[in-house]
Amino acid sequence: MSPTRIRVGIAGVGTSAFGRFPTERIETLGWAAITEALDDAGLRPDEVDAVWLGSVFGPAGLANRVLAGVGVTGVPVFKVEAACASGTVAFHEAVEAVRLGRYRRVLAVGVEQLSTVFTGPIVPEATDPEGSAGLALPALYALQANRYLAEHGLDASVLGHIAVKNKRAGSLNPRAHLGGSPPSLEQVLGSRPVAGPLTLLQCCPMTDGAAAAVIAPLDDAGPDPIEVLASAFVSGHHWGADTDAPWSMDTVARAADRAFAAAGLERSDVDVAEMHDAFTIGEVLTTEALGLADPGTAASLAARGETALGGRLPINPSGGLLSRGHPLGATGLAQTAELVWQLRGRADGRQVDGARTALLETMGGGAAGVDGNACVVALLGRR
Amino acid sequence: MTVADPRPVLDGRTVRGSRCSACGTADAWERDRCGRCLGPSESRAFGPDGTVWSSADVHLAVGHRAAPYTLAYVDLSGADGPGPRVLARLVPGGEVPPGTAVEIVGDDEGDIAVTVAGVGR
Repeated sequence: MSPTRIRVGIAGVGTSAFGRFPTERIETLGWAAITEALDDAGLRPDEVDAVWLGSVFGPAGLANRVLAGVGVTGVPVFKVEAACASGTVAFHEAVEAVRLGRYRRVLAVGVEQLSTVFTGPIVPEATDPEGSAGLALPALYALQANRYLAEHGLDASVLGHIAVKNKRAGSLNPRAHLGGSPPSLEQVLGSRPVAGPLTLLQCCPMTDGAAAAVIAPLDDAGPDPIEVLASAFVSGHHWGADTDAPWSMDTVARAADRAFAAAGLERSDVDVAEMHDAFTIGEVLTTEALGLADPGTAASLAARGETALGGRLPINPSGGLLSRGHPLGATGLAQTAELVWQLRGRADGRQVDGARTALLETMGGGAAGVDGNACVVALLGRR
Repeated sequence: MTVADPRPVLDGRTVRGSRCSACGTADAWERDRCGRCLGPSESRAFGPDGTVWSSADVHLAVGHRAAPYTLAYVDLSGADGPGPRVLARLVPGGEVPPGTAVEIVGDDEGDIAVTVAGVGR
């Protein structure tokens, strides 16, 4: 990683509501998120120097149509697709652009409207060898879950604790798609089976939404800046018969190693984390791949409350993708917004006391034969 | 719109693939260059024997597949070293432990169909 030239800050964040909005224009989701982020940063739209927009299923021209509605015109606009990590890649690119002095004030945005593209779950990609063979995303994770459970001699019920924990936190998040009263472990495990050990309440909902962040040099990052201590972006190597680790783990571990090394931090420095829990097993594998839990222990940490709000290391205090929902391209920036609120001490009702260092992780996956399309791990800190 | 079928091609009960003569990587697709190192690759038949890496019942209807059906990652055997890991349909359905020996029995509408070895066909 190149030496740090400019210290980078997050000047402002914002999100749309999260839910199913099939009758809304897709642009309105982006407008809500960007408006809140610019207001938060105290910036006018004509002060934005460049934009990265992440979306997976967003239509052609989406980025410019969104930006034209909030006065951000005439500047370079980049649209990125990195599966579930699209928004986090937009964030990473914005951070690196500022760090290297390419642009000064950069807007990172994620926008997704799944309700107008799919009537049910995401349909596997027909041009992908495994998608074409019936590998729905819950099935991809279910295969990892069964391998992981067998490897560690664990009962499938341990995964349910992740859903209980995250939905409890999500019930405290007014922006969550699935709020309301959180389910019991019995209700999680007794909900409709989807794939392998994964029941319906262990799967994130199909959600529409947008999120945004304004990135700028730390000394010019608004009234309440959060520093980006490091951000690492990798894609997966080949995954196949010579890979023993469940899919995604080596990729997450590589991104984490780079981010911690670049920030000069230890795993024990992390006070709060938002990570990719599209399915309960995802949080389990990710927590262990990040080095935040010993192999085979992440689910039991959740069961004991150690990774819950009030625990030693709260993971997904927003309620995660399991509660907020998973508007693919927007997810990484929604995670970013949550961590900024946590570090500013403004996460009403779900605040992690005294949080000073936060970890952000998003995994984008699904291309056959590779260990994930993209993974970003970033470390954020209160100045 | 229809697209080219990207699934591995079966030749009876084996997968028509290739192996790199430089790095040894097995590919479940017949290619003349290795997808890992771009070295020269030669045609190989993989299977019919294989070992389940993991399996899972799927309770969602996907394409022509009525729910439930069982998917498995299967590490195929090869004559000159390990074969590729392929996604297969386990028939009849039902999850089996990792390490279970299976064999290719043919295809089910283009999906590789495997069954637990020795159970009969």
